[in-house]
Amino acid sequence: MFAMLVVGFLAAIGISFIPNTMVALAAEKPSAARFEEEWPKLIAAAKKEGSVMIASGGAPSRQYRPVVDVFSKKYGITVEVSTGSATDTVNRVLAERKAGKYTIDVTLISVREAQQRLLPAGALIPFTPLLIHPEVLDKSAWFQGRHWYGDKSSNTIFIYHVSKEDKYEFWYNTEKLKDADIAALKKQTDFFDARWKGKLMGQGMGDPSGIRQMIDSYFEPDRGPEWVKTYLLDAGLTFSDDRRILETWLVGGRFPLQPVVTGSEDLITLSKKGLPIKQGFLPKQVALVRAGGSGCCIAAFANAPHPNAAKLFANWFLTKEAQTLTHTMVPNLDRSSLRNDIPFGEVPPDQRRVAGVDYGFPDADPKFGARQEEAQKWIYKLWESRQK
Amino acid sequence: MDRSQTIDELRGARNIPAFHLTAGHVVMAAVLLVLGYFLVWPVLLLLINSFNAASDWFVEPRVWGVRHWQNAFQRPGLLKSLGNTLLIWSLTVSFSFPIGVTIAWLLARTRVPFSHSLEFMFWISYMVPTLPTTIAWISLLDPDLGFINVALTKLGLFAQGPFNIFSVPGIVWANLMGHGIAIKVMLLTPAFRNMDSTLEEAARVGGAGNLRTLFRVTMPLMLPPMALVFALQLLRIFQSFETEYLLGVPFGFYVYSTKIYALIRDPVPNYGEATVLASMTLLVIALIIPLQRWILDRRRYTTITGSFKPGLIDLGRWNYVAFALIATLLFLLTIGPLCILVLGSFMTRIGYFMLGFTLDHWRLVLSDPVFTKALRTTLLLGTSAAVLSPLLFSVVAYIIVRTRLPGRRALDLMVWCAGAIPGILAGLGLLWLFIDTPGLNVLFGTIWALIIVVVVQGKTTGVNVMKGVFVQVGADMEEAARVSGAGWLRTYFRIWLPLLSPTLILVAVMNFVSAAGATGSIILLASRDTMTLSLMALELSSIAVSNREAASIISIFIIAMTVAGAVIVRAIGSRVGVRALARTSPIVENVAPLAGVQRP
Repeated sequence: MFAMLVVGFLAAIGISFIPNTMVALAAEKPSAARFEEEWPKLIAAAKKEGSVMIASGGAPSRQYRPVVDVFSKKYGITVEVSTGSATDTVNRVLAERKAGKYTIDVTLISVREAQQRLLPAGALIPFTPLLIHPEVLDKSAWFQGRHWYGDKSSNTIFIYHVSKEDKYEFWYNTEKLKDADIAALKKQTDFFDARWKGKLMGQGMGDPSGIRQMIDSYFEPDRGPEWVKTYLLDAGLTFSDDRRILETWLVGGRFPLQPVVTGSEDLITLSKKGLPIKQGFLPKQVALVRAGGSGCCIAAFANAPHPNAAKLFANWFLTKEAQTLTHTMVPNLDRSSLRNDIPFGEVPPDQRRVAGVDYGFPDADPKFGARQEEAQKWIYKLWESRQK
Repeated sequence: MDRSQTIDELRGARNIPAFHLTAGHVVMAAVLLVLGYFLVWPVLLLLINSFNAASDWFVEPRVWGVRHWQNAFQRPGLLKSLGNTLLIWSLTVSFSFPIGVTIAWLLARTRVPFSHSLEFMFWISYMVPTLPTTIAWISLLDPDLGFINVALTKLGLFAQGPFNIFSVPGIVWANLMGHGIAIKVMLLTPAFRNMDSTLEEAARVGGAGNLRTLFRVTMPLMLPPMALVFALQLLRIFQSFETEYLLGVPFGFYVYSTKIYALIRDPVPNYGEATVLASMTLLVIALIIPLQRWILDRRRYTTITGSFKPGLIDLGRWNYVAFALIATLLFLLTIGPLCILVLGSFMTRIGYFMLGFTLDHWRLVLSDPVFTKALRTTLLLGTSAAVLSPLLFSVVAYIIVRTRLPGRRALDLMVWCAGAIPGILAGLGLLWLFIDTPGLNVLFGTIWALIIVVVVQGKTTGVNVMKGVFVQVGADMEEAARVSGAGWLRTYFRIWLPLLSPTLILVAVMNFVSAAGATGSIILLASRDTMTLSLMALELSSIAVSNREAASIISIFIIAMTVAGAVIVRAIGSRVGVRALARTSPIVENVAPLAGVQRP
């Protein structure tokens, strides 16, 4: 009772804090016997339904294909994963639902799409009650001993993968810039030095990663809103929404410095092959883990046409087996599972969380979604004002 | 005088015919209803919903208001983007139009060697999607890494690359090398070919040289089809965006269509403001309609009659000069982008020779289970569009041009208005149409919905190209058939189909290409089971996946499929077209058995 009062007080003054013990108390832990009884029944019911429909988008919709194929073979259930842009998928699903058509069971989609659109439309149901598998319910196997959610109620958008951000990454052309120039870069505002004018480039806001980078920067103590404003309007950056064009500019040296880079697997590959580009890092005050992109989260739809298959898939996907497959079957994964009890597999070293580091996790803050939305609107206004 | 008596007298004096319901009226009503539902209703749904002031149409409850209309026109840089659009459009047209007309004339009216093969190469150029072509030109004309710039600097001719694709001239160049010239040659060559040479011969007999004949006789005769092609180009003024988006954004150059695209691509798609901005095209249509009315009224430019005679002009040694120039242009339009597309599919990463070559991208695509499914779906959609669209469009064009049925002008207006909204927005209208219509909603998510969409999606170009031919053809042959007692269907198959066959083939190929490459119009309707190659390519080349090499492979398949289809239909068409008939006998012979008349 006392603990609940404390949490209530903290919430009232704007601090979100959910102690692990509270979460543990709140969760119902079925006995092993009950699970043994329920699981075969669930499999049988799911098989009867025959298929599970998953709404997804972007790279993960393809990345997870071999993983869902394992599920399909194991349980004899057809899995259909929608592909293409996540926004298109969400549009389609929402339009269908408005017309009373319910075709999707589960979604593997970004916190932003789920929180800004699927949740307000009432399309999602609480996810926690669906979880019955002991391996999933055992919170000790998860990051910081708890389950993580990306929605206001902390029970609907389950976060299973995160990217690690403990330093700022930038890239430069080694033929056009000297190491001494790069060594002069100490903090984020150094990119705005007059010497860099006309040499910087960045991802445009038409690229979901571009807007994501700016939203993140908005909240980071090393950058903040003023930094974002200068970056977008006054620092003389050249932007493109096409990552291949940016890559060409960097390699060719047309714009030899990219101050903000995320998802740099391709650049790493090119650098390893001997192209004149190199990764640089600047320190970050707060190390973070972030849930971004369609590969981070799972949620379940209301009025699912195959509720049992959906429940079976949701539980299986979060087990040790399936999460291990996401590490081993997807090459160069730019994030890692929140499960602590699986091997890192193909996850690159810089994405592996280090034990003992206290990572901040803003996406799991129930209030963060609304603040992100505000920041996003502000950034888009700035971006559009460039077009005058 | 009694008032009613006066009216009766006036009626009698004007000889106002009494209205009799005929089969034609019933057909017209059916056509208006069905096409209106599929073509205009989705556009109207979008326009009506543009007054739904909710920020997210899919999430928030409907609130009526004019917020989107107010906000849309207050967007920063809107006027400038309109100016930029006009600049790019007028520059592109002022180059592409004269070049397109000249090439069409050379191919159709002169003895340039291999003219049919050259014409076909323009078709192939049209089959190469815009995105890979633009990427290919970036690879060639990027100021730092572009092959041509690098070669020129390495040869010591320039200190730094002289070309910059990221510029206004760069955008215009990419547009010309994309579909800018090819589409005009494709649309105008059959029209030039259908022209009776009698008047040209008369001009030459009268002492006029080739050039004078061209400007005083041929061009005025070809004015209607040229005006139609111009009108179609005008309709697309706010729709073309891929090239402008890719090349313009890096140097802060925004056109109107990139604004529409950006609104739809917002994290919460702003369909309301996008529709408002797109509806500006309806104003363009207000300009087009009088233009095409004028075209339809110019029956005096009839060029195909029963005594049709397709003569060709011999340019002497200039035939070979023209051939060389067209072949060089075709190399730039077709061979270059195709080579880069094929080469790129084998490169570890397009543009980086130092990274070597690989078969990995081919393996990835060919082993993807979605690929075979997508190939089948695309073939089915392409074939449906290639077979059904030309027949449908020819009937609609026939009704508009050759009949006096009430409602034909409304039908014409409908066809134009339906083309006003860009595919990416029209897709939303179609989604609502299928979801909200009892009976049609069972088709949602099935291949049938996609077939309906791809069959009607090329309507504005298809119907208007057909109209161009109907305007060119004189009434004598049809009348002869009718007099002989042939019914409409028999006349259509025995007279019209041979006359229309080059255009039918053209429209079939264009619709195959458009169906095989459809993305925006079907993306919200396709399910995983009805995935197409174009959607697969879109997904592979999307920002998140960014596998342009694999997307190139899909494009190669689409092009190969289209070329194979085009070769087959051209082969069939060459046996039944006007020229084939004219080679063996005057067209009037074809009518003779129907008309029961003896050969002269």
